[in-house]
Amino acid sequence: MKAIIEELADKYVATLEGEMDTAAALEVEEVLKPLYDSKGKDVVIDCSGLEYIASSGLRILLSILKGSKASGSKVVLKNVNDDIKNVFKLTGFISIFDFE
Amino acid sequence: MIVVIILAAMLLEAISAFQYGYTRDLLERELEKSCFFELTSSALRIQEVTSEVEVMVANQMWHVKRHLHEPDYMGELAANMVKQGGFNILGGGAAFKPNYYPSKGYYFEPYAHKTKDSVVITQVGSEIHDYTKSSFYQAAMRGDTTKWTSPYLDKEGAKGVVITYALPILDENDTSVGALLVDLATDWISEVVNERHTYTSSFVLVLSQTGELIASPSDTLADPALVRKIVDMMNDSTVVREKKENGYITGFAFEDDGEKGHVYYGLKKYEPMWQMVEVCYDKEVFGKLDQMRRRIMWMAVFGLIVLGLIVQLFVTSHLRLQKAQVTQERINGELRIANRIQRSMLPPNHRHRKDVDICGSLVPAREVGGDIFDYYIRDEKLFFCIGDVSGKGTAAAMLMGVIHSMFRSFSLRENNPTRIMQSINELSCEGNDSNMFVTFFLGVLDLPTGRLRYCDAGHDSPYIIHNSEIFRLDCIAHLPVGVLDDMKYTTQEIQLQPDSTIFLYTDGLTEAMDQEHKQFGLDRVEKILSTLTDENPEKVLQKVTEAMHEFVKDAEQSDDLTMLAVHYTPQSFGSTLTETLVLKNDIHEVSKLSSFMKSVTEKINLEASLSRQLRLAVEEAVVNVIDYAYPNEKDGEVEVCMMFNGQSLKIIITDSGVPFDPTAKEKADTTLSAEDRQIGGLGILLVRELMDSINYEREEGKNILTLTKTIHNS
Repeated sequence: MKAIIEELADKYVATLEGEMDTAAALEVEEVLKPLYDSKGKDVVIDCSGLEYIASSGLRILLSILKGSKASGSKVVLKNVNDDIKNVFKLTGFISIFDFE
Repeated sequence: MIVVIILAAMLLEAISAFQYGYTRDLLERELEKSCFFELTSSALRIQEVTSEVEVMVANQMWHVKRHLHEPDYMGELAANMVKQGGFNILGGGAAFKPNYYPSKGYYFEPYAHKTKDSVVITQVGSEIHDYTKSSFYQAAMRGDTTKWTSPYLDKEGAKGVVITYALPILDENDTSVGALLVDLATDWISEVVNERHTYTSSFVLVLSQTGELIASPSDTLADPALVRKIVDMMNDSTVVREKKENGYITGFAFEDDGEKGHVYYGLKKYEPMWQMVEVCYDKEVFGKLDQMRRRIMWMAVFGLIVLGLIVQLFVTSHLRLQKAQVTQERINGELRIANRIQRSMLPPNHRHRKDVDICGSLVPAREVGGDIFDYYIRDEKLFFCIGDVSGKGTAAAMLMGVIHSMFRSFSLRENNPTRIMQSINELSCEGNDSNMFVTFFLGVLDLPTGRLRYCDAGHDSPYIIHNSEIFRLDCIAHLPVGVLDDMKYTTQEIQLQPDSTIFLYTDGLTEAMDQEHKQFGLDRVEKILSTLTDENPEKVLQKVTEAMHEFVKDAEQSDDLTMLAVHYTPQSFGSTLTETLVLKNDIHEVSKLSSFMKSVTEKINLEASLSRQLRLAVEEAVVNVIDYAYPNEKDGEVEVCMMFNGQSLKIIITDSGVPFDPTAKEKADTTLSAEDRQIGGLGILLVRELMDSINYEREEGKNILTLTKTIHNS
């Protein structure tokens, strides 16, 4: 799995690619840690290449969301595929994240 | 109600008034009658005396006539009269026409009057005592029919109040030449008339024809002022005379010093000489009647008050009864609602499962009962129970409701009968003031394996029926729930054979009594159970109920009747494909799951998104096992076995770590906001959501988690 963060002037852009199973989530957590405190900047996560996510991955996303909410910024998930959207539905995450 | 009393009072008063009036009339008439008789008898008495005098004078007249030419003899004749007459005669004499005896002078009236010892004759006629002016002389000379005078004071002759009887002295030519007279005292008259009287306060007056008082009672008998008043009234024509039924007497009312009275007297035409007047006070006549009437009135008032109180008492007690009835009806209504609530708490009978069929029935002795049964299926396990509270009625039912909810809530997170029973027991002992206890049987049947775990707290052990053989489940006799709070409850276990029936009951069945108080008994129950042809639970209960009704007939149901039947018919999975993967308890191993799942799902032609779902569910389950069953990260294995039988996928995850029941973990709350969302609980949530069923068993030191998913519905 691949995870990249890009810090822009007004937002963070993260890209997730591949399968984010429990083991992969453990590995990329370090990479995504800066997003936990976005210092007021919005976070855009590009999920167009994300094929699979397990609960550990969801937990990381939730932590990012909690951090940005605290500083008043937004988290947007872009291009989430249907399977993963379904997972979001089952877990109720569908109503707490913004999707594009 | 007051109105009724008042009407009754008025009616009573009316009757009483009528009676009073009638009685009064009767009394009046009696009075009139007695007055009439009294007056008449008095008149007769007087007449006795006067007649005597009249006769005497008449007799003496013969002598006078014979000796008319002897004026000096006249005095003697008069004296004879006086001597002959009674004590009443004061004197008598002969008064001659002026100058009849020229030798005797102008006035000649020889008069004999009585003294204490003798009779004294004197000539009383003179200028001063001009007897020609006297009424007796004038009446006699005129030849009046009335020969008696009214009372007058005779100073000269009789020296007292007298009445005079005078007959005219006639010569040979029948010319009146004088009057032969007798003076009668009047005081005897009063005595005569007042000798006997009906009423103590009444008295009689005698009046002359002209209305002058002739005789009256002594001052002690009658107040002189009153007497005068009555005499005046007698002579007063404006005084209203009452008409009497009795045609002889009449009368009028008077008032003296506030005291009312009546005066009765005979009509003039019947009493030619004198007027007899009877005077009596109303109080004396009617006094007793009035008194009685007053007494009756007070009695009536008192009686009515008492009656009123009694009626009031009845009304209040009736109202109270009514209120009690209303309350009772309300209670009945509430009991019916409670009964309905209780019924709705009982689970519906499962139909749609193939591996188990359950039927239960509860008939309470009263509207709400102290028995309970419950069952539900969670994570492929059948949790069932049956219980009986000591006691009946509302209190028992309430305790049962509490136990029931405890059964449900404690078994939600817990598979182990011991822990469930212990929790229920602790809580029951805590709030148990009325020292009620509950016999309770709790069972957990693992449907995939047929393993029955159970715990019995003092309840009749259930029957197991298999192949027409019945036996009683071996149960450790624990104390009922709610007795000892630190009671140790042990879980027992048996393997239930396929096509077995568990039959549970309360003592309402075995102790059901017929009219001779014989009990239904275990023998009869066993007989029915062992002769069952159809193990369908509904039919089983029906058969038992019918047999019981036949036995009991018309006797009243004494205890709640509760039964539960569980028919276990497990279906074998029949897998056509079995694949196994063994992982080490290391997170990084989960990647292997990906290719493993892919290969299996390809073999069974599962579509991609469903495959991914399954992979996620299995991954989450396995990660949970690694995290919790192997918390110390000792070396261990996790085995993932996938089976497919053409319709369903079964995935069995086995590990030999510490006992860990993922079904007891709480799902994450998906309704919370981002800030409130907890990190944990997602894994198990996903497993439950993605799979059709999840089942956990701990067996021989292994955690066995079974997940199933139906792929094709055929």
